[in-house]
Amino acid sequence: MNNIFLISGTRKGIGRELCLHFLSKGATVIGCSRGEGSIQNENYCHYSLDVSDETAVTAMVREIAEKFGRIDVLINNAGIASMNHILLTPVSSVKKIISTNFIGTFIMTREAAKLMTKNKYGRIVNMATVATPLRLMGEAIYASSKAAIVNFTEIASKELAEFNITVNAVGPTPVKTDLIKNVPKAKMESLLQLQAIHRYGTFKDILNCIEFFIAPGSDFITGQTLYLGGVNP
Amino acid sequence: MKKQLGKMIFDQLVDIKDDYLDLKEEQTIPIYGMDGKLDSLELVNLIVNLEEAVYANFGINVTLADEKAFSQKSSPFLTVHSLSEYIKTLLAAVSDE
Ligand SMILES: NC(=O)c1ccc[n+]([C@@H]2O[C@H](COP(=O)([O-])OP(=O)(O)OC[C@H]3O[C@@H](n4cnc5c(N)ncnc54)[C@H](OP(=O)(O)O)[C@@H]3O)[C@@H](O)[C@H]2O)c1
Repeated sequence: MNNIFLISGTRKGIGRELCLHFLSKGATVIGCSRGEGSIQNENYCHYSLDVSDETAVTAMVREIAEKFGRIDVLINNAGIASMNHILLTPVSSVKKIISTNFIGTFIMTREAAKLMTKNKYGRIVNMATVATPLRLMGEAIYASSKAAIVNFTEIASKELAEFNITVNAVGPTPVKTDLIKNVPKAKMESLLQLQAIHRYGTFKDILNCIEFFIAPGSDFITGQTLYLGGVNP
Repeated sequence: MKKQLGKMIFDQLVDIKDDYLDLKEEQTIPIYGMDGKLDSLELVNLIVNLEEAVYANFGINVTLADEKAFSQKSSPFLTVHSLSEYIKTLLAAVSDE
Protein backbone atom coordinates (compact mmCIF):
# COMPACT_ATOMS: atom_id res chain seq x y z
CA MET A 1 0.00 0.00 0.00
CA ASN A 2 2.81 2.44 0.85
CA ASN A 3 4.41 3.15 -2.51
CA ILE A 4 4.68 6.91 -2.81
CA PHE A 5 6.56 8.76 -0.07
CA LEU A 6 6.94 12.50 0.36
CA ILE A 7 9.72 13.35 2.80
CA SER A 8 10.95 16.84 3.70
CA GLY A 9 14.51 17.76 4.61
CA THR A 10 16.15 15.04 2.53
CA ARG A 11 19.46 16.65 1.55
CA LYS A 12 21.22 15.34 4.66
CA GLY A 13 20.76 13.89 8.13
CA ILE A 14 17.81 11.74 9.13
CA GLY A 15 15.71 12.74 6.11
CA ARG A 16 18.36 11.53 3.70
CA GLU A 17 18.68 8.21 5.53
CA LEU A 18 14.92 7.77 5.45
CA CYS A 19 14.89 8.29 1.69
CA LEU A 20 17.67 5.80 1.12
CA HIS A 21 15.89 3.26 3.27
CA PHE A 22 12.50 3.50 1.57
CA LEU A 23 14.14 3.59 -1.87
CA SER A 24 15.94 0.35 -0.99
CA LYS A 25 12.52 -1.13 -0.22
CA GLY A 26 11.36 -0.29 -3.73
CA ALA A 27 9.28 2.79 -2.92
CA THR A 28 9.16 5.97 -4.97
CA VAL A 29 10.35 8.89 -2.87
CA ILE A 30 9.83 12.57 -3.50
CA GLY A 31 12.14 14.60 -1.33
CA CYS A 32 12.62 18.29 -0.72
CA SER A 33 15.00 20.66 1.00
CA ARG A 34 16.29 24.17 0.35
CA GLY A 35 19.49 22.88 -1.21
CA GLU A 36 20.10 20.59 -4.16
CA GLY A 37 19.26 16.91 -3.79
CA SER A 38 22.06 14.55 -2.79
CA ILE A 39 20.52 11.25 -3.84
CA GLN A 40 20.89 9.71 -7.27
CA ASN A 41 18.24 7.08 -7.80
CA GLU A 42 15.73 6.62 -10.59
CA ASN A 43 12.93 6.39 -8.06
CA TYR A 44 13.93 9.57 -6.27
CA CYS A 45 12.86 13.03 -7.25
CA HIS A 46 14.08 16.17 -5.46
CA TYR A 47 12.48 19.56 -5.14
CA SER A 48 14.66 22.42 -3.95
CA LEU A 49 12.28 24.43 -1.85
CA ASP A 50 11.65 25.84 1.58
CA VAL A 51 8.85 23.97 3.34
CA SER A 52 7.46 27.27 4.62
CA ASP A 53 6.98 28.55 1.06
CA GLU A 54 3.30 27.92 0.44
CA THR A 55 3.44 28.55 -3.30
CA ALA A 56 6.38 26.22 -3.85
CA VAL A 57 4.92 23.42 -1.74
CA THR A 58 1.53 23.71 -3.43
CA ALA A 59 3.14 23.51 -6.86
CA MET A 60 5.21 20.49 -5.82
CA VAL A 61 2.16 18.60 -4.55
CA ARG A 62 0.27 19.51 -7.72
CA GLU A 63 3.09 17.97 -9.77
CA ILE A 64 3.10 14.86 -7.59
CA ALA A 65 -0.67 14.56 -8.11
CA GLU A 66 -0.24 14.77 -11.86
CA LYS A 67 2.68 12.37 -12.01
CA PHE A 68 1.80 9.78 -9.39
CA GLY A 69 -1.81 10.52 -8.49
CA ARG A 70 -1.22 9.88 -4.80
CA ILE A 71 0.89 10.32 -1.70
CA ASP A 72 0.75 7.37 0.68
CA VAL A 73 3.17 8.57 3.32
CA LEU A 74 4.26 12.06 4.30
CA ILE A 75 7.18 12.45 6.68
CA ASN A 76 7.57 16.00 7.93
CA ASN A 77 11.22 15.74 8.80
CA ALA A 78 12.66 19.14 7.79
CA GLY A 79 13.62 21.02 10.88
CA ILE A 80 16.13 23.45 12.31
CA ALA A 81 17.33 24.08 15.83
CA SER A 82 19.18 26.80 17.63
CA MET A 83 20.37 26.74 21.20
CA ASN A 84 20.24 29.99 23.03
CA HIS A 85 19.18 31.63 26.24
CA ILE A 86 15.86 33.41 25.73
CA LEU A 87 17.40 36.71 26.85
CA LEU A 88 19.88 36.42 23.99
CA THR A 89 17.50 35.19 21.29
CA PRO A 90 16.69 37.57 18.43
CA VAL A 91 13.13 37.57 17.10
CA SER A 92 14.50 36.78 13.64
CA SER A 93 15.72 33.41 14.84
CA VAL A 94 12.38 32.66 16.54
CA LYS A 95 10.60 33.42 13.28
CA LYS A 96 12.94 31.19 11.31
CA ILE A 97 12.49 28.23 13.62
CA ILE A 98 8.71 28.52 13.88
CA SER A 99 8.50 29.04 10.16
CA THR A 100 10.43 25.91 9.18
CA ASN A 101 9.40 23.59 11.97
CA PHE A 102 5.79 24.47 12.52
CA ILE A 103 4.51 26.42 9.52
CA GLY A 104 6.42 24.09 7.19
CA THR A 105 4.84 21.05 8.81
CA PHE A 106 1.42 22.67 8.55
CA ILE A 107 1.70 23.58 4.86
CA MET A 108 3.10 20.19 3.86
CA THR A 109 0.38 18.43 5.84
CA ARG A 110 -2.41 20.54 4.43
CA GLU A 111 -1.36 20.07 0.83
CA ALA A 112 -0.45 16.36 1.07
CA ALA A 113 -3.61 15.58 3.03
CA LYS A 114 -5.71 17.09 0.24
CA LEU A 115 -4.29 14.52 -2.14
CA MET A 116 -4.62 11.77 0.48
CA THR A 117 -8.32 12.54 0.96
CA LYS A 118 -8.89 11.65 -2.68
CA ASN A 119 -7.47 8.17 -2.18
CA LYS A 120 -9.00 7.81 1.26
CA TYR A 121 -5.64 6.71 2.58
CA GLY A 122 -2.64 8.36 4.11
CA ARG A 123 -0.02 8.15 6.80
CA ILE A 124 1.58 11.29 8.15
CA VAL A 125 4.52 11.25 10.53
CA ASN A 126 5.85 14.43 12.14
CA MET A 127 9.10 15.04 13.97
CA ALA A 128 8.93 16.09 17.59
CA THR A 129 11.80 16.03 20.11
CA VAL A 130 12.49 15.01 23.69
CA ALA A 131 13.53 18.62 24.29
CA THR A 132 9.81 19.41 24.68
CA PRO A 133 8.89 17.04 27.54
CA LEU A 134 12.30 17.53 29.18
CA ARG A 135 11.82 21.33 29.11
CA LEU A 136 15.48 21.71 28.17
CA MET A 137 17.05 25.02 29.07
CA GLY A 138 18.56 26.70 26.04
CA GLU A 139 16.01 25.12 23.73
CA ALA A 140 12.95 27.19 24.56
CA ILE A 141 12.17 28.18 21.00
CA TYR A 142 13.06 24.89 19.33
CA ALA A 143 11.17 22.87 21.96
CA SER A 144 8.16 25.19 21.71
CA SER A 145 8.04 24.88 17.93
CA LYS A 146 7.98 21.10 18.38
CA ALA A 147 5.39 21.33 21.16
CA ALA A 148 3.21 23.05 18.59
CA ILE A 149 3.80 20.11 16.27
CA VAL A 150 2.69 17.67 18.98
CA ASN A 151 -0.59 19.51 19.50
CA PHE A 152 -1.05 19.91 15.76
CA THR A 153 -0.52 16.15 15.36
CA GLU A 154 -3.25 15.47 17.89
CA ILE A 155 -5.85 17.76 16.35
CA ALA A 156 -4.95 16.87 12.76
CA SER A 157 -5.41 13.20 13.65
CA LYS A 158 -9.01 13.96 14.59
CA GLU A 159 -9.77 16.16 11.61
CA LEU A 160 -8.25 13.72 9.14
CA ALA A 161 -9.46 10.44 10.65
CA GLU A 162 -12.59 10.36 8.51
CA PHE A 163 -10.40 10.29 5.42
CA ASN A 164 -8.51 7.25 6.70
CA ILE A 165 -5.41 9.35 7.30
CA THR A 166 -3.40 8.79 10.48
CA VAL A 167 -1.14 11.47 11.93
CA ASN A 168 1.55 10.62 14.49
CA ALA A 169 4.87 11.96 15.65
CA VAL A 170 8.24 10.56 16.68
CA GLY A 171 10.12 12.34 19.44
CA PRO A 172 13.79 11.44 19.05
CA THR A 173 16.49 11.83 21.65
CA PRO A 174 19.74 13.39 20.42
CA VAL A 175 20.98 11.69 17.26
CA LYS A 176 24.43 12.53 15.91
CA THR A 177 23.68 14.75 12.92
CA ASP A 178 24.61 18.30 11.94
CA LEU A 179 21.59 19.51 13.92
CA ILE A 180 23.35 19.04 17.24
CA LYS A 181 27.00 19.27 16.20
CA ASN A 182 27.49 22.65 17.86
CA VAL A 183 26.13 21.60 21.25
CA PRO A 184 29.03 21.11 23.73
CA LYS A 185 29.82 17.47 24.51
CA ALA A 186 29.41 17.89 28.28
CA LYS A 187 25.97 19.38 27.77
CA MET A 188 25.04 16.44 25.54
CA GLU A 189 26.23 13.91 28.10
CA SER A 190 24.18 15.48 30.89
CA LEU A 191 21.20 15.48 28.60
CA LEU A 192 21.51 11.75 27.93
CA GLN A 193 21.36 11.21 31.68
CA LEU A 194 17.80 12.54 31.69
CA GLN A 195 16.66 9.61 29.55
CA ALA A 196 15.77 6.18 30.95
CA ILE A 197 18.31 4.69 28.55
CA HIS A 198 21.45 6.83 28.52
CA ARG A 199 22.64 6.63 24.94
CA TYR A 200 22.41 8.60 21.73
CA GLY A 201 19.54 7.69 19.46
CA THR A 202 20.29 6.30 16.03
CA PHE A 203 18.65 6.56 12.67
CA LYS A 204 17.42 2.99 13.15
CA ASP A 205 15.57 3.94 16.35
CA ILE A 206 13.65 6.60 14.44
CA LEU A 207 13.02 4.34 11.48
CA ASN A 208 11.62 1.69 13.80
CA CYS A 209 8.94 4.12 15.05
CA ILE A 210 8.12 5.38 11.59
CA GLU A 211 7.75 1.85 10.24
CA PHE A 212 5.40 1.10 13.11
CA PHE A 213 3.27 4.17 12.39
CA ILE A 214 2.97 3.44 8.68
CA ALA A 215 2.47 -0.33 8.96
CA PRO A 216 -0.90 -1.68 7.72
CA GLY A 217 -1.69 -2.92 11.22
CA SER A 218 -1.34 0.59 12.65
CA ASP A 219 -4.57 1.92 11.18
CA PHE A 220 -5.93 2.35 14.72
CA ILE A 221 -2.87 4.31 15.91
CA THR A 222 -3.25 8.05 15.46
CA GLY A 223 -2.62 11.32 17.27
CA GLN A 224 0.30 9.81 19.20
CA THR A 225 3.76 11.13 19.91
CA LEU A 226 6.23 8.38 20.66
CA TYR A 227 9.27 9.55 22.62
CA LEU A 228 12.43 7.52 22.36
CA GLY A 229 14.92 6.57 25.06
CA GLY A 230 12.35 6.28 27.80
CA VAL A 231 11.36 9.93 27.98
CA ASN A 232 7.79 10.55 29.09
CA PRO A 233 5.54 13.34 27.89
CA MET B 1 -15.10 34.25 -16.51
CA LYS B 2 -17.77 34.41 -13.82
CA LYS B 3 -19.92 32.08 -15.89
CA GLN B 4 -17.08 29.66 -16.48
CA LEU B 5 -16.32 29.58 -12.77
CA GLY B 6 -19.98 29.13 -11.92
CA LYS B 7 -20.23 26.16 -14.22
CA MET B 8 -17.04 24.68 -12.85
CA ILE B 9 -18.33 24.92 -9.28
CA PHE B 10 -21.73 23.55 -10.21
CA ASP B 11 -20.21 20.57 -12.00
CA GLN B 12 -18.17 19.74 -8.91
CA LEU B 13 -21.21 20.08 -6.66
CA VAL B 14 -23.20 17.65 -8.76
CA ASP B 15 -20.25 15.30 -8.67
CA ILE B 16 -20.07 15.37 -4.89
CA LYS B 17 -23.74 15.29 -3.97
CA ASP B 18 -26.82 13.98 -5.74
CA ASP B 19 -28.96 16.68 -4.08
CA TYR B 20 -27.56 19.13 -6.61
CA LEU B 21 -28.63 17.02 -9.60
CA ASP B 22 -32.19 18.32 -9.51
CA LEU B 23 -31.16 21.95 -9.37
CA LYS B 24 -30.61 24.27 -12.29
CA GLU B 25 -27.21 25.87 -12.44
CA GLU B 26 -27.62 29.25 -10.81
CA GLN B 27 -25.48 31.73 -8.95
CA THR B 28 -27.72 31.64 -5.90
CA ILE B 29 -27.34 27.93 -5.24
CA PRO B 30 -26.26 27.48 -1.63
CA ILE B 31 -23.14 25.45 -0.93
CA TYR B 32 -22.19 25.47 2.72
CA GLY B 33 -23.68 27.04 5.86
CA MET B 34 -27.24 28.36 6.18
CA ASP B 35 -29.09 26.61 3.35
CA GLY B 36 -26.08 24.78 1.98
CA LYS B 37 -26.35 21.10 1.27
CA LEU B 38 -22.76 20.10 1.93
CA ASP B 39 -21.43 18.94 5.28
CA SER B 40 -17.91 19.89 6.31
CA LEU B 41 -16.44 16.71 4.87
CA GLU B 42 -18.06 17.33 1.51
CA LEU B 43 -16.87 20.93 1.62
CA VAL B 44 -13.31 19.65 1.98
CA ASN B 45 -13.85 17.39 -1.04
CA LEU B 46 -15.26 20.29 -3.02
CA ILE B 47 -12.27 22.46 -2.22
CA VAL B 48 -9.78 19.78 -3.23
CA ASN B 49 -11.60 19.11 -6.50
CA LEU B 50 -12.04 22.79 -7.27
CA GLU B 51 -8.38 23.61 -6.73
CA GLU B 52 -7.63 20.86 -9.23
CA ALA B 53 -10.21 22.18 -11.69
CA VAL B 54 -8.92 25.75 -11.39
CA TYR B 55 -5.45 24.48 -12.18
CA ALA B 56 -6.70 22.42 -15.12
CA ASN B 57 -8.61 25.38 -16.56
CA PHE B 58 -6.35 28.30 -15.78
CA GLY B 59 -2.95 26.72 -15.10
CA ILE B 60 -2.84 28.54 -11.76
CA ASN B 61 -2.48 26.99 -8.32
CA VAL B 62 -4.87 28.59 -5.87
CA THR B 63 -5.43 27.67 -2.25
CA LEU B 64 -9.08 27.90 -1.31
CA ALA B 65 -8.44 28.50 2.36
CA ASP B 66 -10.08 31.39 4.09
CA GLU B 67 -10.33 32.75 7.61
CA LYS B 68 -14.03 33.18 7.15
CA ALA B 69 -14.64 29.68 5.76
CA PHE B 70 -16.93 28.77 8.65
CA SER B 71 -18.61 32.15 9.06
CA GLN B 72 -22.37 32.12 8.53
CA LYS B 73 -22.44 35.58 7.01
CA SER B 74 -19.34 36.21 4.99
CA SER B 75 -17.93 32.82 4.10
CA PRO B 76 -16.83 32.58 0.47
CA PHE B 77 -18.35 29.09 0.48
CA LEU B 78 -21.95 30.20 0.98
CA THR B 79 -23.16 30.17 -2.61
CA VAL B 80 -21.97 29.54 -6.15
CA HIS B 81 -21.90 33.32 -6.56
CA SER B 82 -19.72 34.04 -3.52
CA LEU B 83 -17.35 31.21 -4.36
CA SER B 84 -16.94 32.32 -7.99
CA GLU B 85 -16.23 35.86 -6.80
CA TYR B 86 -13.69 34.52 -4.34
CA ILE B 87 -11.86 32.41 -6.92
CA LYS B 88 -11.91 35.36 -9.32
CA THR B 89 -10.16 37.51 -6.70
CA LEU B 90 -7.56 34.82 -6.09
CA LEU B 91 -6.86 34.44 -9.80
CA ALA B 92 -6.58 38.20 -10.22
CA ALA B 93 -4.14 38.41 -7.31
CA VAL B 94 -1.90 35.81 -8.97
CA SER B 95 -1.94 37.50 -12.37
CA ASP B 96 -1.08 40.86 -10.71
CA GLU B 97 2.15 39.44 -9.29
N1 LIG C 1 19.43 15.08 15.36
C1 LIG C 1 18.79 15.14 16.50
O1 LIG C 1 19.39 15.05 17.58
C2 LIG C 1 17.30 15.31 16.56
C3 LIG C 1 16.65 15.10 17.77
C4 LIG C 1 15.27 15.28 17.83
C5 LIG C 1 14.56 15.64 16.67
N2 LIG C 1 15.23 15.83 15.51
C6 LIG C 1 14.45 16.25 14.35
O2 LIG C 1 14.72 15.43 13.24
C7 LIG C 1 14.58 16.17 12.04
C8 LIG C 1 15.78 15.98 11.14
O3 LIG C 1 16.91 16.48 11.83
P1 LIG C 1 18.41 16.14 11.41
O4 LIG C 1 19.12 15.81 12.67
O5 LIG C 1 18.45 15.18 10.29
O6 LIG C 1 18.90 17.60 10.97
P2 LIG C 1 19.96 18.04 9.84
O7 LIG C 1 21.02 17.01 9.69
O8 LIG C 1 20.34 19.43 10.21
O9 LIG C 1 19.07 18.06 8.50
C9 LIG C 1 17.98 18.92 8.34
C10 LIG C 1 17.39 18.71 6.96
O10 LIG C 1 16.28 19.59 6.80
C11 LIG C 1 16.46 20.39 5.64
N3 LIG C 1 15.85 21.71 5.90
C12 LIG C 1 16.15 22.60 6.87
N4 LIG C 1 15.37 23.68 6.79
C13 LIG C 1 14.53 23.48 5.74
C14 LIG C 1 13.50 24.25 5.15
N5 LIG C 1 13.13 25.45 5.62
N6 LIG C 1 12.85 23.73 4.07
C15 LIG C 1 13.19 22.52 3.57
N7 LIG C 1 14.16 21.75 4.10
C16 LIG C 1 14.83 22.23 5.17
C17 LIG C 1 17.96 20.41 5.41
O11 LIG C 1 18.32 20.58 4.05
P3 LIG C 1 18.62 22.04 3.37
O12 LIG C 1 19.68 22.68 4.22
O13 LIG C 1 19.02 21.71 1.99
O14 LIG C 1 17.31 22.79 3.44
C18 LIG C 1 18.37 19.00 5.86
O15 LIG C 1 18.19 18.07 4.80
C19 LIG C 1 14.32 17.61 12.46
O16 LIG C 1 12.93 17.90 12.42
C20 LIG C 1 14.81 17.65 13.88
O17 LIG C 1 14.18 18.64 14.64
C21 LIG C 1 16.58 15.67 15.42
